Amino acid sequence: MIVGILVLCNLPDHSVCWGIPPPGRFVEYIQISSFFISLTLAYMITYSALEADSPSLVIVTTIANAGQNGLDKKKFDELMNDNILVNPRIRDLLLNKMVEMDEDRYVLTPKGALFARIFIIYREMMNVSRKGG
Amino acid sequence: MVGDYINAINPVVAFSINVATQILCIRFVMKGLLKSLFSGFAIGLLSLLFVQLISVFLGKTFLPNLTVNIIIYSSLGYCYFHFINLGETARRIRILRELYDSKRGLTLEEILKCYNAKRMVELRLQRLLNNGQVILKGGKLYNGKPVLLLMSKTILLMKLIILGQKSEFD
Repeated sequence: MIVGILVLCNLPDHSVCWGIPPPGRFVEYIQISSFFISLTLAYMITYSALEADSPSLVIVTTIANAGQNGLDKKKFDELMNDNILVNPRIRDLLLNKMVEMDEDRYVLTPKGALFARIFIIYREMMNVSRKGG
Repeated sequence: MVGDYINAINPVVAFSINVATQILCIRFVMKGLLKSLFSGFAIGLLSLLFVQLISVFLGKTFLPNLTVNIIIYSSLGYCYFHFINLGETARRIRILRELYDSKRGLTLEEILKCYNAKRMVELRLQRLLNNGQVILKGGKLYNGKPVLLLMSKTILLMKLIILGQKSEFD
């Protein structure tokens, strides 16, 4: 964003792109920055959502992969196990330093506690009581 | 001059109205989280349109500024939707909350006792069965309505384009 703004600042006043002159006033830079920041945030949040396989997505694709004959419920229950759905997320928390090991116990780091607190407070604000997840 | 500043802060103000409306709706008016999110987004959008119309009288062009502000507002609304969704459905956040509630942390067995694949899949599968996305017939599971399957395929394609792999286990 800083590079983009520096480029825009140094554009000659008479340069026009598709009929749009370069920004000239501070307020125009504010609008450009909010445009850039909002789209970047949207991309970041989409990226993080795509990183992990969502359980519903795993369920639907597993059943689809079984084809026309369907998937036996018992086989399905075997496939949907903690190694696929829970353990990788615990590993993510360790990798992102939100959780650390204290002997055989997983404990929150200050970063993890901050994240947890943000969501707990927000859920309290919304008065959501069910556990979710 | 005033019109310029009003135009610049319009999407941020509309987004604040969106968040405030959503919280008020879920606390006092309605039960469904999704409904409250849509309501908040709609009210915020209306306020954005209203202020955009006012800014026309302050000398701002309508359509170009409206287009930019709607993109900014929608992106912020999209982020907010994901934030709420994360708090509700993300496994990482659920595990963090379980650990936060425990005094001395939890062992793997204790985590899996309060939050495990079986319970998680049961809840989601029941939801998919209830809305006809999945069908259970003769002890076998089949895909039902194609909506979620299409969405899954789109997400898989996005994963392939952005991450270069279809699944985190590839």
